[in-house]
Amino acid sequence: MKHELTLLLKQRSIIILLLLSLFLTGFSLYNGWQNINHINAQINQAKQEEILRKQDFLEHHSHHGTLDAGELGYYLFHNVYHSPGEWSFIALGNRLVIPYVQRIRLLGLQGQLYDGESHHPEYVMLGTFDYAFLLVFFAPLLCIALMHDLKASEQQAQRLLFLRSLMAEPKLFWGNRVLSRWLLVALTFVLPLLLLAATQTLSFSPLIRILAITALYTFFWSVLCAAISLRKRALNANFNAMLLASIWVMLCVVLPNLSQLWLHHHYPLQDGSQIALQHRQWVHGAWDLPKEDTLTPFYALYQQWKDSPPVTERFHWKWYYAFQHMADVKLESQVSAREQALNQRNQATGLLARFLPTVWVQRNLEDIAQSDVPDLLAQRQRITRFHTQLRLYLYPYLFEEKPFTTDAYMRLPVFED
Amino acid sequence: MTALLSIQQLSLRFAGRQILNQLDLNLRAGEVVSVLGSNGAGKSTLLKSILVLQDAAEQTGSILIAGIAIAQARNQALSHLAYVPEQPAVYGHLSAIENIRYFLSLGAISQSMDIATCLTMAGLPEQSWHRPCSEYSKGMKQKVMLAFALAKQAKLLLLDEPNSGLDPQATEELNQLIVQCKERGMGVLVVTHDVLSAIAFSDRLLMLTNGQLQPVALNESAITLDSLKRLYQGQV
Repeated sequence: MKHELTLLLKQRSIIILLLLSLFLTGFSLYNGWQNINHINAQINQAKQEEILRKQDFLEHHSHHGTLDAGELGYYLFHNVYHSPGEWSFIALGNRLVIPYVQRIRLLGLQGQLYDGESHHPEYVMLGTFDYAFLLVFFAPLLCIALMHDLKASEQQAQRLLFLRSLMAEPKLFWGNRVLSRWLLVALTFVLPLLLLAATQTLSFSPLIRILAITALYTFFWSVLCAAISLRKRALNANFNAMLLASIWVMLCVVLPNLSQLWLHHHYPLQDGSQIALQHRQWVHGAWDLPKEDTLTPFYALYQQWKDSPPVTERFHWKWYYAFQHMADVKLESQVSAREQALNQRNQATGLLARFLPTVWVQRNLEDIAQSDVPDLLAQRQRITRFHTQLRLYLYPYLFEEKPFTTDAYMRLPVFED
Repeated sequence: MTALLSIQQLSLRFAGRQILNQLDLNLRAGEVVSVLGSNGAGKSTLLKSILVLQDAAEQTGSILIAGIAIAQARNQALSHLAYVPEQPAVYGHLSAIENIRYFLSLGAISQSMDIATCLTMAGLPEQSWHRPCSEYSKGMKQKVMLAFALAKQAKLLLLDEPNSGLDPQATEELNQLIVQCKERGMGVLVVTHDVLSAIAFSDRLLMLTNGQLQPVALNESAITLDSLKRLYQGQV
């Protein structure tokens, strides 16, 4: 192995290729790290702004130590955050196409969740240059470049016969050739990662998982390259390179995209903006309905306030928030179907990952980076829980028509991320 | 004296054609034997058979190197042998020393000679030892290959067209090296078209025709183009 490494590292073209890989890995980590730093900075800034906003609201809306709970529900925005994990920088995944800071009011939740750009077109088009992207797409190309001509290059240099006469164990010889190349490929990915983990004192367990994924994935491609370039009549390097490039296109581009199309077709998903639109239509429609049409089903759900004084005025906040919430209730089945479809897609992708190494890597790295579909759904759950908490905190002041004191204001629920 | 290389009744068919036909050859330590033959006569096939690189199913007969049957103990038998191909098999980006060190690492070689000593014996100038072999002439590369054979402490040396592509001076130097190997007690089997060189360094000349080796007696001063033509046509 030592001699094989010497043989490799004495070649200028190999050194250039490995340095390029080291640079790209370093850059992918830097890019991911910068993105996460940006997200964290935005979240911190939003937290500071929220404190100021809430102080400002209190100064402008409090009258003699009380506030209007209805006004508060309408005008006061509460931040919810999708904070990155420690290792999120390795696979940004959904993190750049879903909001990491969102402002929620007491209005219907479904109208707010999907109100905005659901996809950042630039990121959707280009993808993100992070460690996961580089590993999935570039590592195989590096393996192909280093291992497509294992036997053919020796044949071309008229050295194969001589080498075969020297080999005590041909399998050991070729095995060493493949392993030394695999080791170098893996190291160009692992070394910058280890350096970053050491300098930033990142936790050990995810690091081990990432190292294992990197080692296994690059080993898979090394074995594949060896199988092609060491087969009995593998003496044409160009043919080997073309064959391996075709396999790369199939495994990295065609099959994952075809699978994605199949998943989209098999598990159709209602667009979030459709849900937001429908919510808005329900809300708008509610203005024209008799108030009882909204309040009766609302009180059926929240019987503790069924004895709330009847709404006799043209407008009352409790009626307003009741129809906002009832629009959410009416959309529950659609929201649940959407989440179920997302879960089904996720499970199907899990099955697919057993057969497609590219999907397996992406999925596992996104799991470590907390930027996968389960994390997205968990974030939705956290927002829903916070919104429910906020509603149930303010409802007594609205439906029992109690005065909302500044003390109550200070105890308003805060989103915990 | 036990033969270093003993080939008995070696027959080999390839693509329906009889390449070697009950061929016998014995080569002793300190002996140089050159095998001549026209293109396609089977000279390279004979070398491949000795190197155990032929499909065994198509081959019959026995080959012993230093008394060890290659069919039974390939690695042990080949550890006594060094093969120098027509095109020197050195890696261009490695130096002479690195090439030899790498080649020695491939076989199960228990003991090897000091590389610097071998390079000196092979006549490679010391100032070139650490330069990449891509800067070497073909003659220098051949010397690296011979230095490897010395470092390996091989008893038997197989040379495939050693003088091909060499200028007269390099040819002369290589011929002297072959003689030195012989004087060190090595057995040398040379496959060549260079009849004059073969006469210069060989103890015996053999012509491979119809899959068999026939001894030929040649006198350097009596060689003419016509006599060579007759020799290759099997009329001598």
